[in-house]
Amino acid sequence: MAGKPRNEKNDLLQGTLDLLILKTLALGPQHGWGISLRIRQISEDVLQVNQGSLYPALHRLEEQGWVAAEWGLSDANRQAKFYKLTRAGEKQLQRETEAWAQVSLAVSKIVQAT
Amino acid sequence: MRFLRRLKTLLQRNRVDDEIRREMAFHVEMEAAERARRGEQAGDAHRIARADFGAVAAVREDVRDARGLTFWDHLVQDVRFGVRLLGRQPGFTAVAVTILALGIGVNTAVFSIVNTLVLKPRPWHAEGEIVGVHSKDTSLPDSYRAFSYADYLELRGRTDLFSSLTAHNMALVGVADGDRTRRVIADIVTANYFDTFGSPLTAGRAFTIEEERPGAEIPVTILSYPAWQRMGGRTDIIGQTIRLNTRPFQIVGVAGRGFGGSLAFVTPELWLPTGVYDTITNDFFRGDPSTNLGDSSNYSLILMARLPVGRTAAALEPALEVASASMAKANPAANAHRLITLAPLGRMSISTKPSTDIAAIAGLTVALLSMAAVVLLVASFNLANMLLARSGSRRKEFAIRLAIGGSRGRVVRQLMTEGLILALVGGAAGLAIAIWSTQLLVATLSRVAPVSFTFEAMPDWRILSAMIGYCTLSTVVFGLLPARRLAGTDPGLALKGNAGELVTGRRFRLGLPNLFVMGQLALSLVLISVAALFLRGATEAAKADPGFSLDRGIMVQMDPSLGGLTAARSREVYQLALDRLRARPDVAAASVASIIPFGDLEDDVDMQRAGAPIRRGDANAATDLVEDSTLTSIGAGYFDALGLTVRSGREFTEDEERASGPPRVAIIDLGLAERLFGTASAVGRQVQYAPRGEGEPIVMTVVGVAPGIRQNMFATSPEPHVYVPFGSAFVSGAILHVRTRATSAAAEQSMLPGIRQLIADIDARVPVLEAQTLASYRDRNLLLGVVRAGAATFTVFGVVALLMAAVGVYGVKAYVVSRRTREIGIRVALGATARRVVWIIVRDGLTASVVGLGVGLVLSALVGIAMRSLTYQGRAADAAVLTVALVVLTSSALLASWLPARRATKIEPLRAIRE
Repeated sequence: MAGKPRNEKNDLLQGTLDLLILKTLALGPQHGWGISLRIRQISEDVLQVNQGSLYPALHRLEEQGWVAAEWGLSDANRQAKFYKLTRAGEKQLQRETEAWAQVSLAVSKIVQAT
Repeated sequence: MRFLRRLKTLLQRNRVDDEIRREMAFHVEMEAAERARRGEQAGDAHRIARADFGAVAAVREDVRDARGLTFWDHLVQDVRFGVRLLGRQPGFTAVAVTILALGIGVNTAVFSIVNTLVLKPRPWHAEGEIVGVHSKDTSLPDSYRAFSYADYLELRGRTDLFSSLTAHNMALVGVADGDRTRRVIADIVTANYFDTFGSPLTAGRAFTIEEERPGAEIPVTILSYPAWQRMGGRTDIIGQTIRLNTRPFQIVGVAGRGFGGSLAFVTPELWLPTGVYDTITNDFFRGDPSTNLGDSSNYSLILMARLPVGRTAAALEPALEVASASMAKANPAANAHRLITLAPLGRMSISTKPSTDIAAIAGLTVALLSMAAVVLLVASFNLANMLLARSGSRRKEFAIRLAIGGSRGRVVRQLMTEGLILALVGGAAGLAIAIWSTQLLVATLSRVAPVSFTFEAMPDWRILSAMIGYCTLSTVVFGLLPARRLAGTDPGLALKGNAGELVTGRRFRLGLPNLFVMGQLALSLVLISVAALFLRGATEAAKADPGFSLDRGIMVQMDPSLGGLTAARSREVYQLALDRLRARPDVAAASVASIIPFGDLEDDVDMQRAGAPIRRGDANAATDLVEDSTLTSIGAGYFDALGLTVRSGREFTEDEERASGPPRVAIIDLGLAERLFGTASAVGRQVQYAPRGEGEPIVMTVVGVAPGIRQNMFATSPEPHVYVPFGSAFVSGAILHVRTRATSAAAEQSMLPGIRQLIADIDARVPVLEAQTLASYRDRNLLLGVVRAGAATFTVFGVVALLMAAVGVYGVKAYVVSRRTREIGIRVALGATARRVVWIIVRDGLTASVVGLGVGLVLSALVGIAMRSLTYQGRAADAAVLTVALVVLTSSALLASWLPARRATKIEPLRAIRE
C-alpha cells in the first residue's frame, strides 16, 4: 500500500508519542526496541507502543533533527541503531512537556466538571 | 539544516534503505528473544513476533515516507513509466514533440531577442551607472545640441559630477578589402572611452591623450572583436596597418569580446581617436563642415558619463544646474539658455536628444511576446486535444489503479509528469530551433549591412529559465485538465465499459473536448488573421513603389572622399562623370542625387515660406512650418533621369547644378507646395529653411514643382521633399542616376562595366560603392530584405498554425466521434441506414465548428482593429486569407466527423455496442 497520508493519524496522539520517545531518550541513548521496552516498563504495561507507529515516529524525529542516530553494539553484542537526544531535541522536549501539561489539565477540568 | 539532511537522505537512499531493513530485523529478533524468554516456542516466537510487528513492508514504507523518500520514489517511477510510454508510441510522441518544439521554439527565439534588447545586462563592467549627457536649449521645447571639444574638457574637469566622461561620434569610412572598398561604421572616441565603460581590451592599448587631441591626426585604430576575428584573430595584428579611406592606419588594439559600444545589437567595425575626426568624417556625419573639431564653435561630440558609485542621475541635477549656469556666465554667446541633462543610454540609437527607446521597445516587445504566446497557446491546445483523445484509451488503466486504492492526486501527478517530460523534450528541440533560426537571421543580415551584429544566440540562464517556464506553462495548459478528468473517472463505471455513458437526447454537449475544439478553432483563426495582416502590410511595403519605376534605370553610388580626394576634386569628378555619361549614345538622361529612396541616410529640415523665421513650438508652427521635409541635392534633369516630369515650372539647369555657394533656387514637391501655398501656384514664390535649426535662414526661389516620391518604406504617403541644386549642397557620397536607351534588362546590365570604366578613367582613386540596375537595387536592398524575411516568416507562422489547427481539430473530433461508437451500433442495429447515421454525427459536429469559428472571427476583427495602427495600410478584415482559413478548418472538422463515423457504421453492430 502506498504511503498513508500523514494527517490521518490523530495529531494529539502523534504529539504524545513524540513526547514519550523524547522523554525516554532524555534518560539515555537507546535503540528502538529498548525504547518500546522502557516505555512499557515505566508505564507498568499500560502503554504498549505499536511498532508500526514507533519507527516512523523515530525517523521523523531524526529528519527534524531532534534526535541523532548512531550504529553501535547492543547488550547482546548485536549491531543496533542507537538514538540520542540532541540539543534541539531537548528544547522540543521542554515544549512538548509544557503542551502536554496544558492539555491534560484542560481535559481534567472538563472531565471533573459537574 | 533540515533541507541539507533531506538532501543527504536522498543521496544515500540505498544505504538508508539498508539501514532501515537491518533496524527492523534487529527489532524482530529482540522481540522473538523476549517472547522465547517468556516461554514461547522458538519458531513460533519468531513468527508471532513478526506477525506482531505487522506487515513489515508496510512499516518500512511508513518509515521511508517519514524520511521523505516516497516522494522521490514516486517521481522516479513516474518518469520511468512516462519515458517508456512515450517510447512505445513513437508516432504520437513525434507529432507531440514537433508541435511543442515549434511553439516553445518560437517563444524562446522571441524571448532571446527581447533579452538582448531589454533584459541582458550590458556587456561591460562599469562601477556606476552609465548615462547619456545632453545639452538642452531651455528656451525651446525640444531642442538639443551636441558638445564642442572645449565643453567636453570643461565638463570632464568637474570631477565632482562624473567619475568618468567620454565623448564620441560615428562616421562611415571606406575599408580596403582586397580590391573592393567596403563602407563600414566607425566610432570616433576619446582616450578614456573603453575605460569609462570598464571594458578591457582583448589586446593592445587604448588611445592616448595625444591621439585624442583634435587635429592631432595620428592614424591609429582599434578593431572590434568580430572584425579582428574576420581578419584572422591573431595577436600579432597589433602593429599592422589597415587602409581606411585609402590612408594607412596602425592597429593598436582590439576591443573586448562582446563589446560594441552603447547599442544593443550593433558593433562598429572599428574605433578611431578624435584626433583624426576632421579628416575622416565625410559630409553626412559632419556637424559643421566649415569648422574643425577643435574650434569652439564646432559642436559635434556626443557625451556619455559614468556616474560615481551610488549616485543617481536625479541626485546630480542640482550640481548640473550650477555647472550649466557657470558655463553660461563664462561664455554667454555660446552657452546661454543651456542646461546639461542626463538621460538613460539609448540601446537603439545614438543622438543628441535623450533616447525615447522605452516606448518603442516596449511596444515592440509586447507585440512580439503576445504573438509568440498565442502560438504557444495554440500548440498547447492542440496537445491537450491529442492527450484527451489518447486518454480515452487509458480509462481502464486508471480505473483499475483507482479501484485498488491509488489516490487521485497520485494519478494526476503521474499524468503531469508524463506531460512535463513531453514538454521538456519538445522544449529542448525548440531551443535548438530557436538558436539555429536566430543565428541564421543574424548571418543573413550581417552579409548585407555595413555593421557587425553582436547577437549572442547561445542561451544564457535567463533564456534557459524562460524555456523551462514555457514548458511548464504549456504542460499546465495541456496536461492539467485531461489529467483531472482522467483522475475523476468513476472506476466502477469505467470498468464496466462505460455502461452509463449512453446516448442522451441532447445533440451538442458543452463538454471538455468540444470546448477545446472551439478554443482551438478560434485561436487559430485569430493567429492566421493577424499573420495575414502583417503579411499584407509587409508585401505592400515590399512592393516598394517609390513613385517612379524601379524596373529600368541604373544607379551608381560612389564617394570620392573615401579615396582621399579633396572636396574640389570630388566636385570635378562628379561633373566630368555627368558630362561623359550624358555624351554617351546609349544614355537618355543622367543626373545625380544625394540620397536614394529606401536608402539608409536622409537629411531633414523644417520648411516654411520666406519671411520671419518660425521655430518648432511657435504659435504658427502647426500651420506654416512643414517639419521634417527631406532635403535632397540633385543635378539637372534629375526627374527626367527617373522617368518623371515636373508638374509645373522646370528642372534645374546644368549651370545651377554646377554653381557653388548657398542654394538660390529650389524645387519642391506637390505635397510641400500644397501645404505651404495651398492651391496657388508655387513657382516663383520663395521658401526658406534654417540649416540645422539655427542661424540665418536660407531663402530660395521655387522654380519647379515635382511629383511626390516615397522615401520611407513604411510611410503611408510620400513625405514632403525639397530639392536644391547639387553644387550648393554638395555631398561627396552621392548617387548617379542614369536612364538608358537599352531595350532590355540584360542590355542594361551589360552597360555596367562600361560605366565603371568611365569613372575609373576620370580618376582611378574613386571607389565605386555600387553600380547596379535599379531592379537589382530593389531586390538587394537591406530593409526590403528584412521586410520580406518578415513577410516570409509570417507566412510560415500562419501555415504552421493552420496545419496544427487542422490536425488538432481532426484528432479531437475523431475522438469525440469514437466515443459514440456504441450509439452508432445501436442505431444501426435498430435499422437506421449507415448514411443517415453518419449524417447525424456530422451534423452534430458542425455546431462546435460553427461556434468556434464564429468566436474566432469576432476576436480576429477586434484584434485587427487594435492593430490597425501598427501595420502599413492594415485592413481590419483580410477577406481572402480568412476565407481560405475558414475553408481549411471547416473541411478538417467535417472530415474528422465523417471518417470515424463512417468507419463506425462498418463495424458489426453487436461489437460496436460492446465497445
